[in-house]
Amino acid sequence: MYLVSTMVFPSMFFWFFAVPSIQDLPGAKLLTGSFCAFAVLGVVFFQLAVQTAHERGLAWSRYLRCLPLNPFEIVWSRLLASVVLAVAAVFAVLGTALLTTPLHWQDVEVLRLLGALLLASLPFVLWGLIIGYLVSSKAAVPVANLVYLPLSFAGGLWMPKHILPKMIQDLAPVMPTRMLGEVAWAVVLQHEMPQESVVGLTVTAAVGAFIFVCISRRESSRRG
Amino acid sequence: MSETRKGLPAIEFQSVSKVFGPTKAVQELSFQVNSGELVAILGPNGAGKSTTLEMLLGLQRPTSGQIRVFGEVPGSRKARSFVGVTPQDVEFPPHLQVGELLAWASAVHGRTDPSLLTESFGLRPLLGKINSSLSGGERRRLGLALAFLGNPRLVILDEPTNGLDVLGKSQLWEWMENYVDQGGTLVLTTHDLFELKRLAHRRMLMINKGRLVQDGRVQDLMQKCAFKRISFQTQESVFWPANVRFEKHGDLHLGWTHEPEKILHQFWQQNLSLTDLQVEPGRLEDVFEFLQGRAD
Repeated sequence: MYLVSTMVFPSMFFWFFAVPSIQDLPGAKLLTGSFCAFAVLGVVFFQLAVQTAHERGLAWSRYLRCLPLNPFEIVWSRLLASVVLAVAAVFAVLGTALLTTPLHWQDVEVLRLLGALLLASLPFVLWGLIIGYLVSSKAAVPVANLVYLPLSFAGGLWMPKHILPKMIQDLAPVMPTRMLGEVAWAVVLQHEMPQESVVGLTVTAAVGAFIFVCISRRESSRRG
Repeated sequence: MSETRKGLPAIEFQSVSKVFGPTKAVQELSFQVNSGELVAILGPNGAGKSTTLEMLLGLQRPTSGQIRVFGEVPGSRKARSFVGVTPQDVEFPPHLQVGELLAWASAVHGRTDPSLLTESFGLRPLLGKINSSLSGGERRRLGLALAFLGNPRLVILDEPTNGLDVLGKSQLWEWMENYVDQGGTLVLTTHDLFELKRLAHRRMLMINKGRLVQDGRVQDLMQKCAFKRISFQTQESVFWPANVRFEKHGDLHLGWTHEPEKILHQFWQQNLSLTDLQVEPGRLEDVFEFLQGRAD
């Protein structure tokens, strides 16, 4: 349902916001990494948050609950679909970067970038599911947009840090989206993985997991 | 093939109630369905049939009381492996083909071969069609085939003949009877009087206002429905016989009786001036009200 927006928007945003400010290869790597992270975020929030909220209201979902299916199979299949779309969205950004910036294929360790981004997006997977369980299908798209777009901007994923407003610069280091960006930048710039970001994302994931378990239990008791 | 525990009833409801805020959807419902039974659950709209089915499927938990399906809690993985279901209003994934959906459902049920069901429910010509292009009757047939996939021990059908043509209904009834004759247990909901006539020798549970008001054979209920409904307009005073249920709404008079000719003859003898006189077959809703009044 959201294939066009999740595939096209990150590449479009890269073209509008990143390309004009890229002047050299390090800049191209940095912003390509950022927008690959942004692409993964978009997939997570739309595939998981919006799709979950939409499917919860469908008679088909109620029917699935009558079948001898392991509930994790349903979540797992959704995650798998998200991984496929995330990979496609990352390649769309990479393709745009290759066509419009000084970046070349050999400049990016694609597999390492994909692996790092998919792993680092786990906290957002959990928060995406939380949103999907908390909001109605009608509210899911605006809520997902209200969450992931400001978070991406505040995390400094769209523009180099030094041109962001001062308040955003001060806020950025504690934003999980910033931590995701730091992971991406570490890979594309071949720096050491920042430990603070890894710890921060782990804490975000732990909090998200706790809240998700509470919400799952509430959903289960709500049926009772 | 799903395993079951021998000797356990297929369905057990013990003093089950379900409350939604101020609304008592189901009140102290108790009944048992044994293996090999075909049971029709009847009730007017809002009677509590859907809530009862949802609790049976584990989609809702009772506020109080206990439900068991072959000894298992409804909604548990084991209970779900015993049960096949066709909900009334399920929409299948629109972009999947019928054949793809059947293949997926076969895998869910442990690689069951769907070819017999495909033939029996007339799905072979539809295998290449995508679900969004199916007519209402075709969707219904697909839903019914999915309910019987995996040879479940209990099949639950919510108004199964909705959307089917006469031939489709007849084929479904034959399939249901064969399924039960081979040891399966089947529960269906309906409020179709003509469907009930087909199931006359079977058991029926009548639910109204959340309560079980009748548990017996369908043909006994049909006997109650054999009354006629008399309606007419008159400004004169009307004296109905003592054993006739009647209502007056302004000049409109309504009465329910098994002997309409006798009643009308009495009115003729009373020299009553009647207009818009109608004598109609009794409706199921009238029986529900009658039985509910007796239960109250």
